[in-house]
Amino acid sequence: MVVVDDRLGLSWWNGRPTVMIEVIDGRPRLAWLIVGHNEPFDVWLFSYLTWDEADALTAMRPAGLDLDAWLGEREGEFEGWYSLYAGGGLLAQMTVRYPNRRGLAREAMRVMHEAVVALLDDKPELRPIADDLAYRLAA
Amino acid sequence: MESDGELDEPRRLIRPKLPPRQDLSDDVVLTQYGTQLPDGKTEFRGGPRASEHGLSLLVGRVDADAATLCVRQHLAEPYDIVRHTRVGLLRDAGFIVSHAPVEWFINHALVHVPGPDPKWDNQSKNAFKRTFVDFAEEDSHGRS
Repeated sequence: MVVVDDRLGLSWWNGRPTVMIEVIDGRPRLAWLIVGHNEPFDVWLFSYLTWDEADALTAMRPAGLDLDAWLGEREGEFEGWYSLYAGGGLLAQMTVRYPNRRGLAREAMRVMHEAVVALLDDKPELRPIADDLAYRLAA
Repeated sequence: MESDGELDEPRRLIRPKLPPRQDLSDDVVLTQYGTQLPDGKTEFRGGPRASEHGLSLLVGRVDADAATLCVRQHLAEPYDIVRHTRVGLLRDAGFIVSHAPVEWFINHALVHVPGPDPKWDNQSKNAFKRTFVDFAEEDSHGRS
């Protein structure tokens, strides 16, 4: 079980946090809702941060931040995971590793779209989620 | 973890101080973020999910680009859209509207139904939607 030492919501929508930093075993971790503000399913990005990155994010008062661009400007590779939730449960989770951190929001949708498509034979009821993500990726 | 024979304090996150809540007067315009579907239909949250507490709106007449950055923290796509209502219209329909600043944007408002049960019935959902229609009619006549 993951024990959260500290948790701070930075952005909220419909009464729940959509960007959070959680401290787990002394390490700050970013949780960012990529899709789910207006949709019936959630795609989350999770990634550990350095303390300098966590401090920089918690000190911001951006009134509209392009977090995708902010992450893309950070140096170093990206290690994290994407999770898809619907109907109150976890449907898919993929660990990813990239040489840089550019375009992570779109990549989250692409990876989760692939995961949902792979599940369609067993769970055809997921078709609306696959279609929604395909629509966003085609935009 | 030890240092110089003493236990290090665990590092804590810096907690920004939130600005004070403001009273929202009835004439304040509010913005709801939504999505345009491939068939051209628009989709806006009509009531909170079970895991949500109230519905969020942005204070002011905010365009889709700015709303998307506030709500989703990335640049808007063609399917990101907004619609508008007014505090007074929501209150007249029986909703509680309050300014609820959050860490990354202070122009955040929450809409609730009165009473201890946070669930929205169909009557509440229809009444909420109706305020946007009424605002659009007001707006087309030059009042906002």
